[in-house]
Amino acid sequence: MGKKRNNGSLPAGQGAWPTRDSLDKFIKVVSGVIPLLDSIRHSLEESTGSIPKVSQQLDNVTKATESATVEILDLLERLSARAASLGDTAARLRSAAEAEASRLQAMDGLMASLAAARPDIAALWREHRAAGGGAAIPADMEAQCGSISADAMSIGMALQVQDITTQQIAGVAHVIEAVRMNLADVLQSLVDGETIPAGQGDALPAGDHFNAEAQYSRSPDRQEHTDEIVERWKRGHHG
Amino acid sequence: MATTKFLVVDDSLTMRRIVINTLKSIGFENIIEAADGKDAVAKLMSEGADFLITDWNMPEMSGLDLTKWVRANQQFAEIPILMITTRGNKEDVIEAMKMRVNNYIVKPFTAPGLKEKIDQILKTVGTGAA
Repeated sequence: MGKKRNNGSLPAGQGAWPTRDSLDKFIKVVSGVIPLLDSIRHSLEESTGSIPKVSQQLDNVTKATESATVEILDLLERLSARAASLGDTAARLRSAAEAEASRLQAMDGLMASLAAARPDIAALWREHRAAGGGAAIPADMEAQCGSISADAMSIGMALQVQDITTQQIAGVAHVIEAVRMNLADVLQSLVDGETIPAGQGDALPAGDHFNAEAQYSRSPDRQEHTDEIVERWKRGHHG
Repeated sequence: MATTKFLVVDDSLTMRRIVINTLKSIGFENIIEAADGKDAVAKLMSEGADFLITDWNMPEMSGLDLTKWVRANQQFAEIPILMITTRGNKEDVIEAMKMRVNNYIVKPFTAPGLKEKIDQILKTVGTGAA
């Protein structure tokens, strides 16, 4: 050991020994870091604890929307069935009205021949003919019932959005699970004092039962693009 | 054609209902369903089917793996397969075609679109062409 100088440092060329001051400072820093690490560990524990609740909530959302969607589909089926039944009745009324119209036309001829002898009867007949609704009303009902069925079908098709959003939610849940697992690894390393090398923690379950990139788009472009790919493939592989 | 027996495979109950309702609206009544590829295999073995409509992303066994199984199984190898999926990338379509699906629809599908694809496939299968 070298001669101690007045300022406490050693002669040049010799390693510096920690002074009491610098040791005090070091102990102070370490003492401050320990509660900080504790606080980080506590936050990590809280986060990893609340993530499963978030995942469960997302799962609940998915189940609830599926349940509601199936209920709507049930109602749409009943609505379509009723519209079809009403449409059938309207069709029968229309046919009956058309047959009646043929008979009335025959009567028109008869009444015309009576007009000179009995103008009062001819006038009553004209009044009767003017009041008749004919086949127009049931034909209109039939058309309306057809529209109701078509609209019910359209609503049903639009409910595909539920499947698509379910897949998007599953993608989010998968990312959340990945974050939870990473946080758990970090927490474990804080507790053990050992760092878990990347890729050596628990494996994230495979996410192949959903498509996180699922889109809800009613544009025909996507299907047209797909059709082109299919056609090109078929041409290329079948001569 | 109307007696064709369809097996509809999708892990989404909503989608199965929509596909089945659409099939009924275009005149097909003979329909069974499965909730994933594994369930579909069991249904094929126990009840048989003439036409398979399947989703891609499913737990247990994906639609692609189901297609691979069907094409490798002598008893069912020639069953027409229509993939209906949210996966619309070129690579996905080509991968499915390599597995020998007959055609491919991207969700959300339309009723006329589904009818068109089914008619095309049944016509092709009827003539014996690939």
